[in-house]
Amino acid sequence: MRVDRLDETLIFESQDKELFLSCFQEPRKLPEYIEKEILKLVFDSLKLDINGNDDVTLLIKRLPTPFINKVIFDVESMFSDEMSLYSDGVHESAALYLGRHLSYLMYYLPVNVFKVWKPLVDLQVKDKLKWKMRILDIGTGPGSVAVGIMEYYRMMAEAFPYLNFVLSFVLLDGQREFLTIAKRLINSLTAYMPPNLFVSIEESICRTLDSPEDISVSGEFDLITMSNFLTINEMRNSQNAVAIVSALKDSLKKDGSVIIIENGIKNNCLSFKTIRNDLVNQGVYNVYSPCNGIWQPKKEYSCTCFNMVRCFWEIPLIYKFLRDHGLKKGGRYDVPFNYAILRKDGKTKYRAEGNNRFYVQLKDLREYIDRTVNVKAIIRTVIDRGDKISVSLCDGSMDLGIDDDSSAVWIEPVDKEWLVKKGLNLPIVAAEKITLKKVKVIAHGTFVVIPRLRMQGSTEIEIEY
Amino acid sequence: MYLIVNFLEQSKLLAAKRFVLQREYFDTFKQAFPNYKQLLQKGIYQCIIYFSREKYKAAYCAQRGSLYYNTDKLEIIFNDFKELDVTSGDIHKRLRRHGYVKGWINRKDKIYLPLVCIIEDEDDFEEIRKNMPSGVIRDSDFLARLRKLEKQNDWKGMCDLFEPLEKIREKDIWNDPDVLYGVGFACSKMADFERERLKEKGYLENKRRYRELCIEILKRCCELDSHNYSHVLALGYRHYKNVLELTQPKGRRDGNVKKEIELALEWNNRALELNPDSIKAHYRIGRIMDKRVDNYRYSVKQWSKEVFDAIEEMEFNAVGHLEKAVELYEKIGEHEKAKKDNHREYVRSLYSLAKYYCEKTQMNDWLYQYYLLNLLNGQFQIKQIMEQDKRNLNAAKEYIDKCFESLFNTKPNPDIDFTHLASQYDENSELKKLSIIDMLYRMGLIYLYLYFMEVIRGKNSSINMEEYGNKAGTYLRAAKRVANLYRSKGVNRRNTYYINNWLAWYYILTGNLKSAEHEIKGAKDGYVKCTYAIVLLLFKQDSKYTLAEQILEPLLNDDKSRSRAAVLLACIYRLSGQEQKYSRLISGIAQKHNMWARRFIAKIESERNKR
Repeated sequence: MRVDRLDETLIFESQDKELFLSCFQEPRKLPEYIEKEILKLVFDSLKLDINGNDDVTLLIKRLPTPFINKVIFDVESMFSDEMSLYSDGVHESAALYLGRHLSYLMYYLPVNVFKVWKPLVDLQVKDKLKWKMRILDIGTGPGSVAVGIMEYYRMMAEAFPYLNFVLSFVLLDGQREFLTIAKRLINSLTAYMPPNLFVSIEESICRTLDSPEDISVSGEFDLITMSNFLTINEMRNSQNAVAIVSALKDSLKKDGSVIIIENGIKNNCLSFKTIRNDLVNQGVYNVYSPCNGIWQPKKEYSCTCFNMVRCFWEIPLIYKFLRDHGLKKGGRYDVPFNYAILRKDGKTKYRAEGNNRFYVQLKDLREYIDRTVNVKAIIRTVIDRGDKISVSLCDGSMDLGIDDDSSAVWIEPVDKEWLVKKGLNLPIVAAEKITLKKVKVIAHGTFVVIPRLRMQGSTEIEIEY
Repeated sequence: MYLIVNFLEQSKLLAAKRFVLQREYFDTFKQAFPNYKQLLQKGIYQCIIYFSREKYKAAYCAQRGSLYYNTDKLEIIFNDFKELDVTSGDIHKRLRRHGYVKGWINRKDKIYLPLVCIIEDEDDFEEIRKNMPSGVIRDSDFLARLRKLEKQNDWKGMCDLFEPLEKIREKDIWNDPDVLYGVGFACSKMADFERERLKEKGYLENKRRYRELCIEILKRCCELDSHNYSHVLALGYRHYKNVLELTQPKGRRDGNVKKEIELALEWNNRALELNPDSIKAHYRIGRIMDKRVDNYRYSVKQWSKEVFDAIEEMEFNAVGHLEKAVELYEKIGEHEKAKKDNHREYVRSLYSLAKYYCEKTQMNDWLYQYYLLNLLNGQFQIKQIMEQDKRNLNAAKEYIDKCFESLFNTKPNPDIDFTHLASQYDENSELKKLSIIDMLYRMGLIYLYLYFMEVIRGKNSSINMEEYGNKAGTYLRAAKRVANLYRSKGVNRRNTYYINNWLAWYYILTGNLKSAEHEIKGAKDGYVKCTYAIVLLLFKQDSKYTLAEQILEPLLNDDKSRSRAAVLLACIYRLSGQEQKYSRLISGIAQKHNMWARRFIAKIESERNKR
């Protein structure tokens, strides 16, 4: 890897490919030191003594049972309707998180850490990350996104010890307690960073963003991140989202990116896509990824399809402990979420293909029933059904609504083992570009013919990351 | 807009800090970017400068500058540069590729890379400037990976995907005929043998490994999918290549030709059963059958009518397949894909047929007979040349002309600049279907034979005589020139005395004995020495007879040339009055020499007795 002398972006050398493929190959594992620092923070907040030599398993066992029970109760109930809606129907995040910051830290920080890796990889593969990044993290919470970015850069710093990396965060949240937790956690984690990675918190701003005027940050940023900030749980944010995110444009460098990450719940997906569509259709931003048009650049978005990306991870020790003590949540090895990377320079992860001579667009598939065709598309969503997976595709030629999942183009379920035997090394992940050659179109549906794709022995599969 | 400028050298940029594009260089620029005014009006955001003579040096980025242009020239003044961490060579390579992709470099329309290039898209410019690895990160299944590597002709890469190949039986793909076919095909390519590398350590073993793996893998493909024509044809191709490698001069000898011939015929015939219209299979069977004739000839101990009949039948079959390949190809519609896919086999079938009909004649023997009889005041009658030979020569002429036309899209004609044609042909590997030297040589030889036929019919015997002579001389000289051109480039260093030999015959026929002598004076091969001897005899000087005698006597021990040498020596002895030597020589002729020599001696003896 090298740094471009003009724009300071990190440029891949061809041999670096393996490192980035490893982001997909194995499930992510939350480093034990992060879990330990989370627990140390909890111990500190509870004013309990701590033995610095204890490992995570020993530490967690020393937590008082009433506290464990509270955490489990908080996690199970925090975003349930009756707890989160107040009489005026408006969420008050101060009330929502009241007394629950530590519970949120223990459960929601780990699950959110690796979500940001996917957009970071999207930026990285097209050389859009820099060695030195100034990041504005809006709705920091306990610091999940910042920790995720630190971990990503740690991986790079260790792989490329001859390069220096600098991360400078401006944290913004309406909850002072969260900001305190985030600052302490980030500062304590810097001790685990390699010497060629410098992490600092430039500023932490405690402010509720009720309107665009509330955004007043100095300077421009390479990256602006928002994780679970526009969720309908954070009702005010959601209502003002378009205005808030639009206003951030002035704080974004001309080659900077806005990363929005939301959870994989259907209602959130609808809200998130509506906000995205408005932002793009009003000409504020363009979508860098995912959802690029395959055959022509997508200038307008009206699609609100329900899809999600998954991040595979190993269940952390804290989760295992909580589950052993009665927590019902937290058993998933795949974490579903939605994301969008917005930019203002018109750049996209996948550029529109010039030559479609040998391919069929998804909207035209029904004319090719029982024929073998070539298809190029973005993986819209992947559904894991044990030994099999189902994959849905989008090439930008069809607009779907939130409930139109069955009208989308799906690949018939295929054995995971069969894919491995065919030589695919990595699990199929949504939001990547897939090329299928010699795939058969079959008719599905009783009253309306919906084309589906069937993989055959001679089908060639290629996925671009 | 973005500009990429080609300076010759770094020092020139630093000294002049300006670049002027004018005259023919500006014309090239205008050809590539006819709408340059519109494009430049949009403004230049960035400019890269690279150095075509110093490809290892870093390229520069111009930070500030100004640009002036009109209809005759374009001038750029640079005020400030920054060195990039990308070499000029990298920029040049990426830029060329980009030019081809975008279509503003087009060799067909003679639009080459201009010294100044305009890049419209920022992403494109960044890809060039940053020299980013081509393509993003990909994960592909085996088939897609094989296809991609196949497009790059990366046969080793294809094999490496499944190394160690000896354990391929234990892998899942052992049951996947599509993937196995790709691997088998790559092994077949890896097994291809280059005789120039024969002496390299481990070379033969390496080739054998891939050969054996290829056959094992492709056989498995045929087991799994026995009705797949491509699999069967690929296996047939490997055995066919084995036959060619084992029979080519100075080729490998680590195999059993007879066995390989039978296997090649078996698998190619199976391919024909699955696809009776396979041009490739017909062509390959034709070639292998021809090789089988040669092999059979060498193995014959007792010549008999049955042997001749068997050879004739094999030849008939070989020609039948080659002619079928030609016929099938000519039936394909002009724009069908099969036309392009089978062009190589078509051209080679035509060439093989021309060669077959040319060699089927015994013109070489007739040439000797004609001149020797003339020297000895014997009578050579045109009737002696059979009608069959004339028909064969006409067929050879028809095939070789068609072959040339198909390869170069123009009728053969002596006015063509063949050296230029060869250098163009050389650049386009797609066209490398046949050696241009072989083609010109064969054309020259066929026309030389035709010319000879006209010569022996008497001076000015036909209007064709001059044309044939002119063509024979031109094509043979062109073959020699192209061979010399390749040798100077280090491309092909093969012995070309066989061309000189026939060029010498051309000079003999045109009465230019000095040139004939010059052409083959230093030759080492027996058959060329025999031609040299006949040139010396034609001088009709005692000193030359003595020299010819000295050259020929050692050839009596040379298996390939002894009969011809014996006949020539007999003539010299007669001409120089060395009767004793003559008698001794012809007394042993029946035991040691071939039918032609025996017949010729018998003829001159009978003519002497008549007198």
